[in-house]
Amino acid sequence: MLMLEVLRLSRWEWFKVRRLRMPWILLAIAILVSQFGIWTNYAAYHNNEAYEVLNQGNSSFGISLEEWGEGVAVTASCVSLARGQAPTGLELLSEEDRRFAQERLDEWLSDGVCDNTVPIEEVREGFTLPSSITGSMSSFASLGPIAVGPLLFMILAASLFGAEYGWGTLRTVLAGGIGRGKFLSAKLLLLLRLCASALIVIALAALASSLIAALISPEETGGLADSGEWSDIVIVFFKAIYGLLPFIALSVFVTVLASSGGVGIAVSVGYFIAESIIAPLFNVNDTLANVTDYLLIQSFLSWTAPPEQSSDTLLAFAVMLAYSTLFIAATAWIFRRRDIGGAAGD
Amino acid sequence: MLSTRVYRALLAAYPREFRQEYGDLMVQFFTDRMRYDGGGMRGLILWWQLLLDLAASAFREHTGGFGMSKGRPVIETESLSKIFGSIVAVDSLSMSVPRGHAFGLLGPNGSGKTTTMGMLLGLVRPTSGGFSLFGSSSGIEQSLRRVGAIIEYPSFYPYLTGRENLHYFQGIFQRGTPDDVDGLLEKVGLADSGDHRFSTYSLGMKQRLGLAFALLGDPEVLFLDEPTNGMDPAGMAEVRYLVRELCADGKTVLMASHLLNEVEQVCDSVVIMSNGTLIAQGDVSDILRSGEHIRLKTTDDEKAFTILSALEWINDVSIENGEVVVSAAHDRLAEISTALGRSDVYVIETNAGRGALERYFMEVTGGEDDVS
Repeated sequence: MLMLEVLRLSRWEWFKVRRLRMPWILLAIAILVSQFGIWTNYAAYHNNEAYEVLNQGNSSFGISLEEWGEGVAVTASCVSLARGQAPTGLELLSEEDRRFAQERLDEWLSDGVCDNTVPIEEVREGFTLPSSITGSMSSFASLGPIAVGPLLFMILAASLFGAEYGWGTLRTVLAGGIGRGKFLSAKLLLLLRLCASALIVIALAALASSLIAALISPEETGGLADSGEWSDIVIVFFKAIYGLLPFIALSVFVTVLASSGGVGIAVSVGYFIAESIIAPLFNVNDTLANVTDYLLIQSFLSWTAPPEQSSDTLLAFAVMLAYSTLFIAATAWIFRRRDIGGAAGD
Repeated sequence: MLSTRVYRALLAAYPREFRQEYGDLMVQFFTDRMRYDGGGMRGLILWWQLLLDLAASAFREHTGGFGMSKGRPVIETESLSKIFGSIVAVDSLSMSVPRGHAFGLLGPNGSGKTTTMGMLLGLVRPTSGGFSLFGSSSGIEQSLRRVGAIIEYPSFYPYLTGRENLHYFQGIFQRGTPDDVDGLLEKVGLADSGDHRFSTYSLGMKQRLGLAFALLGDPEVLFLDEPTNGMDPAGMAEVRYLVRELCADGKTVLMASHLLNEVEQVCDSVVIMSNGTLIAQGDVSDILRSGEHIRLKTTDDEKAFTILSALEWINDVSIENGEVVVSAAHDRLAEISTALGRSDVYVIETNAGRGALERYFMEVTGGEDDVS
């Protein structure tokens, strides 16, 4: 009965939110960022310069040998090798010189100069179904280059809660007999629904982009849907929502504590930046380094990282659960006890 | 044979208010049945039948359900206090608002009216004391579903239209139906601007939307905090008329205002507050008229004193500084003049003096409102 009431209230929250401009602008940013990944991979797959940009540079190998009285240059680069291209000039060499050049090349590679080069197959997966969808959702709900998901949802959560204080509408709502706990739950549920909706829209946009990419150059892209597993989409979807939950809870907590959306955004985003800067400094000491495992953003990084890169997913899950529970419980406690004033004009 | 406990258990299924009102009667009836036929199944059926009859008649008799008989207070506060830090916003306020009354909370700005309403609406936690709505001091959320309110300043979503705002609140409160919205906008004079954004409304229009909001679902009790703020004189008159109309329909209105004449025109009863303290409570005219007097200059003050002292409806007469001071309501001046004229004493000059409470109110509000 209580859940039904919360669901009903949450639907009415959507009635209000869909008429606001802010969520749509944030969604557009989220789509743009996720699409950026797809089309960067597409460009890199088809263009060497773009591939170099994706790899943040390109190391080259070169050796000059004399063959029949003429100098022959043998050259190769990490990018060309990743594309499966043979070193240039190799075919002009004698068998012996070719072996010699190959040995030099292997020596060069053994230094690990090309270890960080993104394999071309991985680049292709970036715009091919279904991995383009999981990639888009992951890039939204992970720190990535600009941590768009956590930041956008912290801003959105603080704005939606803070606006109720600023406009004084919280008082209007609660004076009508809507229970505080129910209203808070409905707001949080709405934020989770918005989170899910954003991921679905991002997934659909990725689907459309992959189809377009396949149509532009069908002969080059190979199969349309031959990278990754479709079932991964579901896993990434729920991992993303769970990963964003503590950030939403943090932002709502600060907003309710300060009764202000502006403070909510400033403090939650400020914390985000501060932890991102300070946490790496903890690595100077083993004890401090262990502490980072219990910090919010570090746990989020572990949680959203691919399984082969994640050190302890279970610990990350537990830490994020603890943060979410703590923030939501504290918010509920404050929200139920605090006097509700008039419009703050925030 | 059925025991007394079975009857008591059956009775326990009925609302508390019903048990309080009819419980003793039912147990007495049961005891009588036991005496005559041993309290068998026939007694139980008769007992149950009587219980149903009583419930039905109670609903017919009382307009607002059990425990809400006319004259019973809809709102009661008992030593209600609120302290913000070192500021005592409301100090031990005890008042009771009868059903079907327009009840005024009168006081200057900062006297604690809005805080009192905030406490009654569950927005502000009382520091001490308690209150009840519809006879119940618990489950305030349920009680508030029967209350419509605008507090201090109408707060709505600025990016939604007036109509959308009402649709939203109708939806979350589940009061009335979506079709009611158009009628309410019409009723408060916003039919033509219902599709404009709330942010574009003038203060008067916002107040009107606030009134429409308060009327959603035809609530039994209305809390109106300064409902005419920012309205033009015509709008103020409309609101006052509307409040009177609502009371005539059996609604209870608790109206906070700092305007003496507004409360005087609209309300039956009033609580006057200053600095969070209750100064007076009771019938509006009784309170405001108490201490009212008329100063007269006559052709023969001594004779006037003798004549007026003999009139039964005059409380007190004295001569001060060459004037006859008569303790009487202002509207009896004509009768006083007639009585004096019969004895060839004529009034040269009159000066209506305010009641003590009214004088006090004028002082604390800086003479903002003139009732004369």
